[in-house]
Amino acid sequence: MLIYLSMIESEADKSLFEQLYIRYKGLMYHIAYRILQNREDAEDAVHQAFVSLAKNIKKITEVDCPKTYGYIVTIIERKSIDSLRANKHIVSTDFEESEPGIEIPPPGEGGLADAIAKLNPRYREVILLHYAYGYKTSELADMLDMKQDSVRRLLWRAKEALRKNLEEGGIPV
Amino acid sequence: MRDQLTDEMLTQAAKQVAVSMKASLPVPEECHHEFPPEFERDMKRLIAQTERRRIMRRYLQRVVAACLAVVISLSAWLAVDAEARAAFVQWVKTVYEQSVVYEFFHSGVEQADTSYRLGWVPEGYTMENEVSGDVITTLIYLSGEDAIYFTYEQAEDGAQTKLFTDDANTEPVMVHGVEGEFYLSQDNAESNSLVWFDGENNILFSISGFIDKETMIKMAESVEIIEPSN
Repeated sequence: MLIYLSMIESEADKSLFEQLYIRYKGLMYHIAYRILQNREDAEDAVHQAFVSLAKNIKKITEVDCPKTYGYIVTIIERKSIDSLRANKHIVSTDFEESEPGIEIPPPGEGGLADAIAKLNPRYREVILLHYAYGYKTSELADMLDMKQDSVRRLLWRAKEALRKNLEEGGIPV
Repeated sequence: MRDQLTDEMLTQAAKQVAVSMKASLPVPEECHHEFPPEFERDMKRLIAQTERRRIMRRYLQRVVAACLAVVISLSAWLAVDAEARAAFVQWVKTVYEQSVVYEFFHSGVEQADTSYRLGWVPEGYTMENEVSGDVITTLIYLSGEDAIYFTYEQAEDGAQTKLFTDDANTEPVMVHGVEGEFYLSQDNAESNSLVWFDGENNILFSISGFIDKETMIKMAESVEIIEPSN
């Protein structure tokens, strides 16, 4: 009943997802392998990440921009950590546990930026996506497969963790 | 005093971290990895599916304006006809060397927010913990150090579940007349799993544990809805 029509407007428009795949698959594998240290698991994580990207392709407008880069790096880190937890049959949702993720060199000023770099990956991801890359909580909800309230709660917990780390480090906020 | 971490401070600091993160990672053009042929094949399929969905979305946007009566009729048909709803739920099972991924593609019909539990478990097991996400819920039943994991998830568009099936033999089984799959681990250290899909309610169920097939099917057939307390 629904007739399939071809409505491609341009080659670039047609293959946005394919362009993402071609451009980032190597980097995504690199990140996944860093975390998982296993080729098959890393490839699985890359596949899962692209499935998630496919679901949220509407949120990506450019292949090569900081916002897209941030999303790509976050999603592959997230899928890699999920894989690691599944391998270890970890069902805890306690984000206070240290999770292996991408190690980010602290920018070096000993202040808030360093504290963000040292956050648990889950908190760091949402802080970067929201504050550095400008994603709204509604967008994050779709991208991270969470409810919007959960995203807000996660942001709040991330900021609380930051405050606590800064206070313990004797750094005035 | 409470909120001295202003958005401006966070934005400035977060951007510094983003720059540092990017500098610590290789440039995408310098990252090369040869993915296996089956991976590339799966990705080609995913790319094609994504394109089809994008085109269909765009087409639907234009058709609705011109053919509103047709769309409304189609929606009404979908609402009353369970078979029609099922026709728009597709799932793809991808078998990797050490895992199986079940992936769902759904028409977007609203899902009821229902909770489930196992109505029967082997003697000695009690429900000890529940872990709920937005889409997936896992109930953990314990008997000493032994655990049974009962998981259910809404088969929303793009939802997927993954089983690590290294050294597992697969066998089709029936759960209340619905076909499922039983994964019998060949490794004593790995548990068995049972996966089945409730097409009527678009829920993917799974049970994992050091349990034999018949017992798992018995548990699967005991799944019941938890009535909300008033």
